[in-house]
Amino acid sequence: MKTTSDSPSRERGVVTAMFAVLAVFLVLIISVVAEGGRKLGNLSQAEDIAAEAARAAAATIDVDQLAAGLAVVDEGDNRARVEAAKVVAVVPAASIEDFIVTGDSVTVVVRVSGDSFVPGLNIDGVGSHRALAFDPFSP
Amino acid sequence: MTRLSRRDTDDRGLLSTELAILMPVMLMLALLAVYVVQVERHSSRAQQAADAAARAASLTRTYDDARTAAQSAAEAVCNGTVVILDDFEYDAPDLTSFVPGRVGVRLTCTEPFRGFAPLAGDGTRTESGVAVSAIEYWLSAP
Repeated sequence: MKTTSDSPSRERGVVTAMFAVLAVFLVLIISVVAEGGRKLGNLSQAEDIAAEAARAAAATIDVDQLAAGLAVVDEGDNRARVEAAKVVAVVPAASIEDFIVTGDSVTVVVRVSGDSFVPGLNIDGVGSHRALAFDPFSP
Repeated sequence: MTRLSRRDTDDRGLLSTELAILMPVMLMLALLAVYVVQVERHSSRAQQAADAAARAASLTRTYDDARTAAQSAAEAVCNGTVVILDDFEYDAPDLTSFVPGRVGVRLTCTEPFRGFAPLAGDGTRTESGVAVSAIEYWLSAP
């Protein structure tokens, strides 16, 4: 008799409890999708900024070498890095992660930082780009 | 028999009632998902407008031309009003010293945003975007 009377009350609210658990997961999935979108945006922006910074850095040609017909990135006075930094500084969330000059090429790695509202989720975007210097006066 | 019939009587309609109560919540969650996607799309469009503005401005040779080109390019991408903020930056390149120039654009894109009345008021929504573009020094050549 006890079983008979308890059974309906035990089952009552089962759907609600199940939905409460599912709702948490649904909200979590929506949050991760939203933050994933922001991360993709940051990745894309990091790539764009890295490309522009690399172009600017590769444009700082060493004038002395140019006289000898060589288009080499000017490493004196850190000119290439300064020009890249000026470009990156336009976007407050961006920073130069790595900067490599090898002869006529410049590789810039940029990080775009973002704060996620999902605890523990990193939505920073990191992008890199390599640009080559060339002699604008060469035929 | 007694046991079964009592259960049937007490549980009948229980699932439907609970689902009926939960349905608005489920609909709200679905609406939230669509809202989030629309916000992301709007945000992405504002960023694309800034990218297009910076690129267009980098092909010009004066500050005024750059600002005009940036405005036109951004308006072609944003589905609403574009405001280019006052910290618009244009540094012309210098061919003699091989110093590249750059354009920095910060803008807001305000678009109609309707259909989410339970979550947000109907009307417009403003997103911002920031972009930079380098100007190679040979563009300074006459």
